[in-house]
Formats: sequence, structure tokens, C-alpha cells
Amino acid sequence: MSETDPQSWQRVKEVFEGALAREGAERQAFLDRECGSEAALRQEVESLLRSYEVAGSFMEAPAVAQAAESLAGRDQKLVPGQRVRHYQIVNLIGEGGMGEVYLATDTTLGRRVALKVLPKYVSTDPERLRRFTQEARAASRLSHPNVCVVHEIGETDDGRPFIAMEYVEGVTLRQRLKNQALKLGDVLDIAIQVSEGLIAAHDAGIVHRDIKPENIMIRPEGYVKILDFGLAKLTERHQGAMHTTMSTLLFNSSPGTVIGTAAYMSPEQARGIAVDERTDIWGLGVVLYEMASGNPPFTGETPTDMVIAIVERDQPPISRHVDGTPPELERIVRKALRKDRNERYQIVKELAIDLRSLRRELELNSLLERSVAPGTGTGANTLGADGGRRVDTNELKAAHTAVHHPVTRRSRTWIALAAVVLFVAAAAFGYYKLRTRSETTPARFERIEVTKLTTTGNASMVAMSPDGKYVSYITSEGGKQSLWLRQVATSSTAQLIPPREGNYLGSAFSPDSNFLFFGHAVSDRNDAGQIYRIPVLGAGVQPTKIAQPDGPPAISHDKKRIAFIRYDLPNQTDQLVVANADTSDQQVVASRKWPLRFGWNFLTRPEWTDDDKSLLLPMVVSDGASNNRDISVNYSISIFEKDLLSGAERVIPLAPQRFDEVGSVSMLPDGSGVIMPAKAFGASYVQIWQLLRDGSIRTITNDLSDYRELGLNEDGSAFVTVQRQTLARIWTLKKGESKPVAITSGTSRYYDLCATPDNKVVYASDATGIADIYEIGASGSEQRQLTSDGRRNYAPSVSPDNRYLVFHSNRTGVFQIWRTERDGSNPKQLTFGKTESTWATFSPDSKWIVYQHFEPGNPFSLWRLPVDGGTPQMLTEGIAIRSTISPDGKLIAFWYNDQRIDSRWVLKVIQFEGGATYKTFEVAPTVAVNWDSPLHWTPDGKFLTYVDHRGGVDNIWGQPIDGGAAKQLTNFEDSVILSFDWMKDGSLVASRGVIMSDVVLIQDAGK
Amino acid sequence: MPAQNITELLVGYGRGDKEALDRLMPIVYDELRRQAARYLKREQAGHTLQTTALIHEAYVRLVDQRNVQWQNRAHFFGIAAQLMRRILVDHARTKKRAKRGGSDVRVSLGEVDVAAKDQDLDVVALDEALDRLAKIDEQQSRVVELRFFSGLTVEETAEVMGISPATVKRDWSMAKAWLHRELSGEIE
Repeated sequence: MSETDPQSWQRVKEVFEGALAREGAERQAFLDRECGSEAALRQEVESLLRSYEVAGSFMEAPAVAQAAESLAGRDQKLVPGQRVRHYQIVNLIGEGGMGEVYLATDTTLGRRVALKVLPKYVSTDPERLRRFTQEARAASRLSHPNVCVVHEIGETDDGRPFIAMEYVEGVTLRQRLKNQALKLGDVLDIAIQVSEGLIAAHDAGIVHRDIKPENIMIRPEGYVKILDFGLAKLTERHQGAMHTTMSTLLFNSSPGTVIGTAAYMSPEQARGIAVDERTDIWGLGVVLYEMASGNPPFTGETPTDMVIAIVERDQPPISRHVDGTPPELERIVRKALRKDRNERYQIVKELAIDLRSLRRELELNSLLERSVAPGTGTGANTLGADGGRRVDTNELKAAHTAVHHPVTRRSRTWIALAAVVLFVAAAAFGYYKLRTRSETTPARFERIEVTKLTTTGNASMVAMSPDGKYVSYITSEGGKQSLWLRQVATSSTAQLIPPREGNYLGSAFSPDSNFLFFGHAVSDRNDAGQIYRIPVLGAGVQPTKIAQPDGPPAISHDKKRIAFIRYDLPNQTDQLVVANADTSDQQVVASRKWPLRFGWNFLTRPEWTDDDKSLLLPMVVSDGASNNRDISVNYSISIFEKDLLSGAERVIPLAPQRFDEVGSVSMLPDGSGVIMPAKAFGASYVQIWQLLRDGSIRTITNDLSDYRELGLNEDGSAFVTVQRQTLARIWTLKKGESKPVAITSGTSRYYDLCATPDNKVVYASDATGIADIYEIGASGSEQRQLTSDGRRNYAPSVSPDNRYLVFHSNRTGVFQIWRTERDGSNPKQLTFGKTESTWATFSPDSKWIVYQHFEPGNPFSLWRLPVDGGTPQMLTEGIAIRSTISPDGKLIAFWYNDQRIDSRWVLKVIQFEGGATYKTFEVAPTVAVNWDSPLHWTPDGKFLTYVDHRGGVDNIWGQPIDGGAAKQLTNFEDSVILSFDWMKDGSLVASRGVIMSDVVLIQDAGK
Repeated sequence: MPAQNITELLVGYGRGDKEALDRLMPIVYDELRRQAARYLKREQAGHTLQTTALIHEAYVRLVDQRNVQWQNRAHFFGIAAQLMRRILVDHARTKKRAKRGGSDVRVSLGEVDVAAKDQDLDVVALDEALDRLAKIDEQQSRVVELRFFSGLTVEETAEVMGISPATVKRDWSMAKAWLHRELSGEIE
């Protein structure tokens, strides 16, 4: 009989139930009666009855009983020390409905990562997991400083998917919002950074879908990172149609908080229609509103109310929560939060542009505010009777001229508010100074507070006014540089000098903080530059040229005298000069002939001892005379003391630390020691060091970035410096294609790479803090570390027969060429001596290596050496760097400089045998030749290729070896190229990325 | 209207929005998982299984009660049952794949019997059989879902389904017989 026939089924059911209610003979009688001649019916019912009898406990224990164990045990927490693939758990740092987040160590690369381990259920739908993986992979290729980097996606042994990502130190925007109200400047800064990250993601076709304060990390120095790209995909039902952001719900699956997190959904998400990047614009709009007002734009007693509010109600203006909200900010938020996405900003870039303009406008306006300077005004005169402001008209005029931007009416109330805030801040600052002065705090910067003052990534040459109120810096854009002034208390910024050609050489404030001195050279060739002076409040004023290249003066405690360093360039002598406060009666009290220097750069300022009887100067002593990087020149630091009464001089030694590089050295104001950016001997990064007279030494910073320049305020409680971070990846560009593909996931400092015969890339990186050699497959797989001796290893080159790896390493204290087997084993030193040998390359027959060797008097000549060692033979004289041997083995090409004053770098090609000059090529001025300028033959031997910065973008250009004009070979539209090489098949492999250079303020946070 | 929280999802589900179930699943799963962990602790302390209590707790925790109509409670149990079914089936499927190197092998009668005693019956096969049963008798399959997957008592099942306890009992017996026969592979 057919069970699908409802009538038959109904009949079977009735008879079965009737039979079951009876037993024995009664049941048989019942069946006989009911079924009659229907054999099929009887057979079916009896079959079911038999089955019922043997079923026993079948299904009697609820399913959850047998599932409980595995359900509960499903996501047992990982414990410290436990390993997940090659990650070792350090500790749990967060958990939620979407699993847990652990701090872990990547044991192969030695770096810290955040490991997000997801619940197992997400992997039960392979399609869903695939979509997520795809998206997260795509996001991981976004080389953007505002996007958290995903290193790897994998699965734990028990089948839970995990994401290994960049470990971002800091707090979420949610935590930040809980702790304190944000300043408008911060609000805009965070929103701009989020929009930057989203621009990059949207350009790559990735929509985040879940922008909310929980997914925005703020690092201590102010960098913003967007987390969890692609994660929303995990909870998506259909391809292309996102109905809800489950992570939002899951992270807060207890009652009450669901309401809070539903707040970030866009109307289209609430309606369950497909989303696009405009959903992220909405999300950012909500975040912006909340940052600016301290309140969410949409609220509801219940989730239903919340959804209704999102879909139907207009948010109240921000000014309902905060007085003096700039109307432009209201407009931006309104536009981001239009219910109909067609009326919203259509692309994030538009939103970013409006945010930037607003920030600029506010900055310019608050520059005006600065003229009612703290200390000169009182609360009463910052606000006039009409609620507006009262300022000195001359100052107003000056500022107007400077900024070419009148105060707009709509921001008046905000300005009034800013004035009050400014006054309060100034009062607080005054108090702070008073407090730090009255206490004796010998240990400075034990705890620091780091504030990022710029986020544009193009700042340099920082200086801080002695009173700590102003910071000046240079920004570079499109080959032009401009000079900026920032007021620390208000975060307002003004352009003192608009972009122009040439190079700034540095800047420093006058002792009274009223003037800014800066050096500027018109071109980078044969121009030592001039020093100029500009009033701090005089934006738009023509800078005055200072005739004498003097360093910034230090004023004595009795205010009667000044002291400064004068640089006598023709005689190569530094002089310590004392004069009356009005600069009359100048006397040279001490002098030093180079290479002994009083001033490390023209910003060095002496310090008066407390009794004004002596002058103190930091002294940098070098054991060589070259400015080249990484050659065996070391520096040590001491303090020079000049007793003005007795004329006695003495050198006070500090800790005997040797440094490879030393930046601007500043005396601490009490003469207790020095503070400076420096790279310790053998270290990889330039950090801020403090060396005290008592012999103690320590680093104030400790991270994977470089610091350049340092400007200390007069009480030594804060300094500004420039933090540089290199965020690069290794990319491959297949021959004939235009889109490069990133093969490394994390941004880091990758340099000096080499394509290998077995289609891999061997490269040097100091991602862990120590430069080592690594290998990675051309498709990004099989990454492994080849050196790990604790020293710096650079410039790998693999022999064409794939047998050996050579590189330079400082494992003997001096950089020498080392050779290992291809896998990094069995190291053998090939070059010896007190001076260094670097940058080895192989001849095509794998029999020779050619390298550059440094010796005082004959820097960087090329030498060759049999691959098994032996006696080196010199190939060139003059400065020859970055040699490369032609594929046929007949020619060696290199960058060459004949060392004459006027000379420029040229591309020189010589015969491998005999060394006769074959050809010399001029290169464009946009080719910057230095130690780090790679040079390679194309595999066909037809071009010599190098990096040209033409048009402000790094591209590979090729000089035809047969002559003719150089030809552009790549069409990259952004990023710098740190290193490159050609694969056998003609594909390009390059380390490309951005170098973020920003001003940070580091304040002593006390004990 | 698909909505964005449990209550709304329940309402949506009640109106026939099948996707609401998908969206509910991870939420309820997470909650059930927590409950299961708590259950195990209780069991170790000598207590017996109280699935209904677990589900009730989940319900109280997850549902915004001020805003939910009483009939949604029925929806909730219905959904919880479906969710449990789906979770368990997924779970069993994964386990099976891991055990048998990826092949989806049917379980023989002998194994089922042994497994049943071990409270480890073939949930995947049961799920498939239940689908077939639903085509013939929707009500019976729902009773199985509520009783077996959600762990409701006969009375609770009756309450949720709006039928009499006697009907639940009858449906349960027949479904049990039918499903057991399906699983044991006895062809009529």
C-alpha cells in the first residue's frame, strides 16, 4: 500500500492505534475485524506493531542528553601554552558569542598575533565558511594601515575555524567611549581613519557590514584599526544577500544588550535586503553620531522599537546632546544616515572628503582662537557680551591673511566653546608644569603617555616649543614640502608655509617660544641650505633669512645671557658661543674641529647649569667619518661641560653603549643626561634612548618602528618625535598582467629579496625585531625562516644552481658575507676583516660571488670571490654599489659615483673578465640612488632595471642595455618599492608598501 | 518582516519567514550550549536531566518577555526543537565524517540497537526518516521533533501544539514504531 496516500495512512493509523490499545487475543480479534480482507493494511499495521515492540528505549532519551557532552565540550577554552597549529596560546584576551580571542605567538615567525577561535557551528556549513574565508583572505590582502591584518585562516584540531590576525594593542572605540568623552578633533580623526580603511576595502570590493565601536580598535598612539572584515559573512544566509549581522547579536546574546547592538544596523539590513558599501557608510554615520554626542542615534525600549526607529525615525540632531556642534558635522551625519541609501553618501570617499574639510576648517578657526592665548586672556575676555569672541584685530588680520579662510558664521558657537575649553586646558597645563617643577623627579619617562599628533603618514622634522605649547613639523606631498604649526592644547593646526620645492632641514623654536627657526635648501644638490626665522603667530609673514648658521640659543636662568653653537662650515669647526641676551658681545668659549662635533645637527642646544656658571652639551663621538648606513662606524655619547669662570672643560662619559645611528641629541634641562633617537649597535630599529650622568641607560620606546628627531620642552616633561613605520608586503606581478598579488599577509618591513631558481622568494625582514632571512613560495605558501642566530642578516642571494644562500650578517660584530646551504644550514663565513663586506650576488654559473667592500679611503669597491672562499680580487675603484651580473655572465652592472663634488650616480656596466668599462648610462633625477636602491638585469639580459620615483610613485624602469631611453616597465599607482627581483618566467616580485611617518607627542606620565 | 532580534525573529518565523530560523540558530545554539554545560555539572552532582528546564531557561534568557505575545512561546519551543534537530544532525554528520573518513555510511540494524542502548542512535538517519515521515504525517513529525529533539514532555508537547495529550501519546507511539522500522531497514 502507498503511505503517501492520505486515506490509506489515516486508516493504518487508526488500526495501529486501536491495536496498540489492546493486547493478546483482543488485539488479534481487533485486527481481524478492522482489516478484513485488506491484506496490505494488516501487513503494514503488524509490521509497525512489531517495530514498536522492539523499539524499546528508542528515542526515549531526549536528543539533548546525548548532545550535551559534545555541545558543552565543543568550545573548551584554550589554555596558555597550548598550541594551535604553529601558534602558541599566551592568554585569553576576550570572548563572546563568536568565540574567543587569544593572544598567541606565531612560533615560526616569532611574532605576536591575535587568534580568534570561532564556534564550531560556523563550520558546519561549508558554503558559508568558504564565503567567509574568501572574504577574509581578500581583506587580508588590503595593505592598509587602518585595516587589521589577517595573517591566516585555519582550523583547530577539533575543527573550530580560527583567524590569526595582527595583534593590535589598544582599546576598542567602545571602551574608549565608556571611559571618556571624545574631543571633536578625536572624533573626526577616528572617523577619518575608519573611512580611509573602508575606502581601501570598498575599492577591493569588500563590504564590512558590521561597523560599530566594538570593531574599531584605537592603538595607544592614535592609529585606528578596523577589525573583523569578512566575519559578518559567516552569518550570512545567501550569497549577496545579507540579512543580519549575526556577530552583532552573538557578541551580546544576553537580553538587554541585544538592543544596544542592533543600533548599528542599516535600514536595509533591518529590512533584510541585499547590502552594499552604503551599509558601511550608515554604520560609520552611527558611530560618528555616537562619538560626537555620546549617545546612539536610535534608541528603543525594546528591540522592536529599535528596529522601528532605525527604519522610520529621524535621529535627533547632535546638538540636542552637545552644545555648539558644528552645523557641518550635523549635515555630514544626516547625509550618512539617510534611510534611503540612494540619498546617502554613495561612496566613503565623499564622506572622508567632507570629514577632512570639516577638520581643516575647525583647525583654521581654532588657530584664530590661539590669538586669545592662554595666559594672556581670562575666561571673561574670551567670551564677549554678544556671546561671540573678542580678539585683537591685528592678530585676527594676521591669521586671516595666513589662512585665506574667513571664519564662517556657522562655526561661531563651536569656537566660543573651544575658547573655553582652551582656557581650561591652559589652566590645567599651567598647573601641571607647576607641579612637575616643584617636585624632584629624577626618573623621567618611566611611564609615558603617547599621543599621535598627525595621521597623514607624511610628517617629518618635528620641533617643540620650550613652553610645550607648539609643535612644528613638515609634511611632504607630491614632492613638495610645507611647514605646519600645531597647538598642543587645542589640537589645532595651521600651515605656516604652503607647499614648495626644496627640502626642509629641520626646525627649532626660540627660547621664548615666539619664533620658529628652520633650515631650508632650495634643491638637494650643492646647497647646504639657509636658516630662516618666522614668528609663531605670524603665519603668512615672509620668513627672515638668518645670516649666520647658528644653532638655537639657550637662555640663562638669570635671563642675561644666551649660549648657542655656531657652525663654521668653511673651517669645519663647531663653536660654543656665549652672548648677552640681546646677542651683543659674542664670545667663542670653546671650539672643536670636525670630526669632533659640538652639535650633532644644527638643532643642538646647550644647557645652562642651575647656577649659570657652566654650559653643558651633548657630544656624539664617532669612530669614523661617514654618514652611510650600516658601515662599521659607531657612535658613543658623552656630555661636554664648560666652566665659564675657570675655562675648564671636561667630558663626562655616559653609558658605554655604541650606536649605529644617532638622531637629534637633547640635554635634559637639569643637565642630568641626554635623550635621543638612536639605533643601538646591532639593533634593527631606531628607538628613543635616555642616558643619564649616573651611567644608567634605557629605552623610552620599545616597538617595531623607527623614531627620527626629537624636540624636548623646557621642563623636560614632554617631547615630540617622528615615528616611522614601514608597512610593506611582498607582491608578485605575473608577466603581462597589471594587477600585483600580495603573497605575504602581514604588513611589515620586508627588504632585500631574491627570486630563487625553484620559484620561491627569499627575503630579509625584521618583523620580529631582528632582521632574518626567510623563504616563501611564489604563491604565498610554505613560509619558513632560514636564519635565526640573533644577529642581523640582510641581502639574501640564492645561487643559480639553487645550492647556496649568501647574505651579509653582523654575527662577528662586523657585517661580512656568509654562505649557507640553500635551507640555511651549515653557515660559513666567506669574507673577513675589520671593515665590512656586503651585498653579495652570484655569477650565473654559481661559481663566483661579487660583493661590495668598505674601507676608509676606498669606500665600496667591488670584489669577487670563488663561492667556496679564497682570495678576493678587486674589480673596481670609486664608489660602486649594488652590483648585478648579466644572465650571460659577461657583464657586471652597478651604481657608480666617481666621488667628485658635483658628480651624480650613474649606471655603470663593466666586463666581468678584465673589468673594462662596457657602458655608462645616466639616470633620471627621480631615481634616488643609495644603499637601498636595487639593480637587476631582466632575465633576458636586455634591460637593467631599477626603481624610479617619477610622478611621485615608485615604478620599475628599464634601461635598454643596447642604448636608448629608459622605459617604464610597471604601472603601479601607489606605494614605495623597497626591493624587487625578476623570477625566471619574467614575473616580477617586489616588496611594496607605505612608510607612515607621523608626529607623536610623548609625555611623562609620572609614577 | 525579518527582524533583528530574538523576539522579532520569532514573530517573523511565526509569519512564515523561514530565514528567521537560520538567524536564530546560532543564538539559540549558543544558549543551549551554555545550558548543556550547566546540565552536565548537575548530572555529575547526581541530578537527572531536565531538558525542559534548560529550554525554559533559554527562553527566559533570550526572549524579551515584555514584548512577546503568549503564542510566541509555542513558536519558541517549536523553533528550539527544530534548532536542536538541526544542530544535532549537523553535529552527528561531522562526527560521522571524521570517524569514517568522509563517507556517509548508513547504519545497520544491529548497530542502531547497540547505539540506542548507548544513547547514540544514528541521528542523521533519523533526521532523514523524519523528513519522510513529515511528508506523510506532519503532526507526527512535529511531535517527534518536540519530544525527542526538544525534550518536551507529552503535556508540554500538547500545550505547544494545541492538541490533547492523548493525541500526542498516540502520535508518538506510531511515529516511534514507524521511524524505528525505517532505521532498521525493514522494508514493508
